Amino acid sequence: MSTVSKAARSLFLMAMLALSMVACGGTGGSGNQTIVIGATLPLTGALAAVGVLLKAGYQAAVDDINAAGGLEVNGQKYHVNLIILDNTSDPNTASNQATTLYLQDNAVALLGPFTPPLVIPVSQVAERVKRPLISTTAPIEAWLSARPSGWQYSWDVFFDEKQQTSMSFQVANMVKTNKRVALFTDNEEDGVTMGKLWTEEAPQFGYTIAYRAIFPVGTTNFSSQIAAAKAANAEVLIAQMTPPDAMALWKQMKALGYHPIVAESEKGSSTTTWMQALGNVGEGALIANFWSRSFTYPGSQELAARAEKAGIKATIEQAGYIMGYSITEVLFDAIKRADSTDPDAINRAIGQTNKTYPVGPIRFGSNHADPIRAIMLQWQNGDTVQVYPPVSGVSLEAPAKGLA
Amino acid sequence: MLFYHLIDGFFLGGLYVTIALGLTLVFGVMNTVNLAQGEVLIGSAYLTYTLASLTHLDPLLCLLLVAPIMFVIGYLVQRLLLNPLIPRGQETLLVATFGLLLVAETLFGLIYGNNTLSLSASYTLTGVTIFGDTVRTIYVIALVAALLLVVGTHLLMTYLPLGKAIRAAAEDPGAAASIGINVPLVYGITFGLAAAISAVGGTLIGLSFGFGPTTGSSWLLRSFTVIVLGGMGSLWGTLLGGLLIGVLEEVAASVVGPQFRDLIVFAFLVIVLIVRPEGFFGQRVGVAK
Repeated sequence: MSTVSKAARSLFLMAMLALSMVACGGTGGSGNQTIVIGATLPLTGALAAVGVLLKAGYQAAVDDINAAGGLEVNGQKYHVNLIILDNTSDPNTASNQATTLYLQDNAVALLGPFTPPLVIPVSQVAERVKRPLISTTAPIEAWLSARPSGWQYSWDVFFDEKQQTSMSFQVANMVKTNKRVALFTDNEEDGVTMGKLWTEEAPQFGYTIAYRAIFPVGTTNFSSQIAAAKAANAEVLIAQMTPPDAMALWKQMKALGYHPIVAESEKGSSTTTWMQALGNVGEGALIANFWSRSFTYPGSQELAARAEKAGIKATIEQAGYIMGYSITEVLFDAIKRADSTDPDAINRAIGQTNKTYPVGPIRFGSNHADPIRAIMLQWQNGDTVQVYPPVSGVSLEAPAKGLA
Repeated sequence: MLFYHLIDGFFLGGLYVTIALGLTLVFGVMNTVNLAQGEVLIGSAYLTYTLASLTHLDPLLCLLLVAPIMFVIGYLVQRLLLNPLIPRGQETLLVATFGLLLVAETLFGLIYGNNTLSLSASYTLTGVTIFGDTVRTIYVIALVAALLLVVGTHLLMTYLPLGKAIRAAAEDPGAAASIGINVPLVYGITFGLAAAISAVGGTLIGLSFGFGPTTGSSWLLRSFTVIVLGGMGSLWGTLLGGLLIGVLEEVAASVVGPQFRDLIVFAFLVIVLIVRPEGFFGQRVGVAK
């Protein structure tokens, strides 16, 4: 009797253990029908506007693969369980959540947040636990500089700052200016890296950095900096700062009568919030991006239409959605190629990526970065249009209309 | 050029006075630090945003309605939530106001989303020339508002029966109660007044910059700096502290560089606290002679 009871108890415990493994997802795939993928995204806080776009892109790709029966690994179909946590735009929270997703939720890989202040801490976690992470919108040089020994499990799809900074001057060359630049950058990783590159690149294109402002994130008052930029007679303005700070700068430039001919607002004007908060003052601002409606990569236009249906109407926001979708597909392809849920095998397979996705061709270098081509967009009539490389029917508006 | 920065900072300081005045009033009368002051400011900005969007009225005009609404909200918070906690000590009140901060941040995000918003008005995009320097019109408005609020609050405290009751409750709540002053009511009115005054600061923040659900914390920090420098709870100290911080920020940003602005402001604050721990005006508003 007691032997039967012991056996029954053992069976019950084994059943509970199996059930809990199924509930938690898993990495091994030993009879487990679910693959867990995680993401820690800024869904609230200063960076939320872009976080929600990536979330929608990730989710759309996961919905598609699940609707198609799941992800096939080793002859077995796996349901993909995407766990997304809100890091409130806080790097420490992002780091803690990444650890939780990897170790507690057993995520085989993570999809990244964006911008270096969030991507770098999450990348550090990926390196620590030795599981892959694919991120985007972290300028490559800034991201690489955070780990001089090189990334092993983290991957980044974004443009190279050198190409981006060169493009700023190529675009400025499209109109007549005195080639004097006012450079405004905050002290985040990308601000520091980009500021240095713009300063280095300017002379090669015949430009002079006539005024340079470096300031902490959260700066609200720019009176003295604007006065200095005006005094320096800078007709080209390049700014890299968070949206709230950039909006404050634009409002104050308008109020204080600073009218640059070319005005670029990197990061700050990356969503429709820019126009909602600034109205016409935001018109004419330039911003580098990786996708526009002129792109015809496979699936690109269909995804844009889906994004529009989901309420993501502005081109620049559809770009975020399409990028989110594309890097999720990169991960799925890698898992299929690895034919395993083993993180090391997936990681190796990510490195072999060489395919054109809706956002464009993706192929990682030995430094784990894929430098996709940057294009320049401009806010015109409430939406972004591609102004560089030039496309037919669109021209660069200068002076920047909102500040004129 | 330095003279221009002094002018810019002086007017910017006016804005800082309007955001810190509510904190001063609450501390001066109840000896309590309201950690949700940033959310009172941002909540006012959201309320003004809603009203301005619905009515298409000028945001400053909307204050005629926003300030009384904030008064009622402040009064109810003090009467229903904070007053019952007073017997449990300052730590409990601090935790309670911190809780309010978190609740408010979440509510703002749920109601308005997480994007940065801004209040629109033609004068936010114009400047006026003062002694050859172009100053944002909104900063000039802020300085005028700051002076009116400080003088108005001073007159209220000094000459009106309500002000005298507030001062009595601030100086000795027990003695005030023994002569028939309804101290919980006075506390409620004080918190309501602080919220109404903060409505002006919050609306000015919305007009001058941008705001989102989590931006309140940075304004709380700035308010703290102002009132600690001026003297915790002192009206005139808040005026002086706000103007000083504005000038110091502008001069530091222009002379040393904007990246060192906060470093210099806080280093100055530390030095002042070492030399004069009570700030420039050490007396609380309620007990000031």
